[in-house]
Amino acid sequence: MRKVIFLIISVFVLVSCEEESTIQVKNMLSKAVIKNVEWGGLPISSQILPGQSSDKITVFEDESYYDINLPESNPIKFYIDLNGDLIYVQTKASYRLDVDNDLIIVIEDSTAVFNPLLEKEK
Amino acid sequence: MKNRWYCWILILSIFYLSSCDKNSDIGQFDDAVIESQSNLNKFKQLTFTISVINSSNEYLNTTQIDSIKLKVNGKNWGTFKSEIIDTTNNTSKIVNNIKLSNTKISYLIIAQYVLNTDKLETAGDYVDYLDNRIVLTAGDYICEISEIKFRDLQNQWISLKPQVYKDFKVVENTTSSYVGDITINLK
Repeated sequence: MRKVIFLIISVFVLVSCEEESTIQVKNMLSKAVIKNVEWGGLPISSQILPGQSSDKITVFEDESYYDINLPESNPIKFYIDLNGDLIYVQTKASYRLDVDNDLIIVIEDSTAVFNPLLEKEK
Repeated sequence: MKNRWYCWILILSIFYLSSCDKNSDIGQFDDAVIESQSNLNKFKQLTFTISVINSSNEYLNTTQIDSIKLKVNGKNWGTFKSEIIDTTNNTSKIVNNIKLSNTKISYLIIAQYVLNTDKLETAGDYVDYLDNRIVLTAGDYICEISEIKFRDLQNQWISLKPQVYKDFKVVENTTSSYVGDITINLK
């Protein structure tokens, strides 16, 4: 019995030794709310108001649930919400998150983005 | 006692394995563009006819009127062509390479609101795109025809800038409206 408990505690200790990074997104769009913000499938925030920053999201070196293995680069995907009308966009640039790194991504008016549906029409 | 332990380990193992399913809806975006829930039936189409008349009450006789620039509430609604019509045997006379008719000829225009998405490059462009869309709720509005073009018998473009206005009504929960007949003077 003691051996089993010792084994479980050892596993927990080993898992908790994994290196962690943080990622945070700031909405600097002048009028719009950004919603359902994600980086590489990792949910960052359900809603960020203009001028507001998301919480710092902790990312472990190996986030197998989201297929993330740091270091990794991903675009930011989100909805722009203006008066209830939503449009989905993703950044043209990818943002790299290294191991033991704090990444702050600022979404502003000049951030290059695209919508795959509208891009196809061009 | 030992059997009970094995039983617990087996149950916990089943729970652990069943929790490994990675098919989550988080981060899945199937609908790229979503309209506001408060106004799903957006007003999208204006239908009207145009007659082009000269000072002698003679009507322009051509197969199609081109480049009809339409504004609603001072914002661009789009640039449209009339439906092609057959006006054979309607010509009464030809003046300055323009066919004219003594009988009234109307040109049908079906004007669906055009959203220009050619220049969307930045997040700010997308915000402006959402902000500048014309959303017409129930009420009375004015549309303006700011320009029309047609070809004469020499295939040369003739451009008119009539700046005529016409009122129309948007009925609640409808997506189109018939504006009526708009008369434009051929100067």
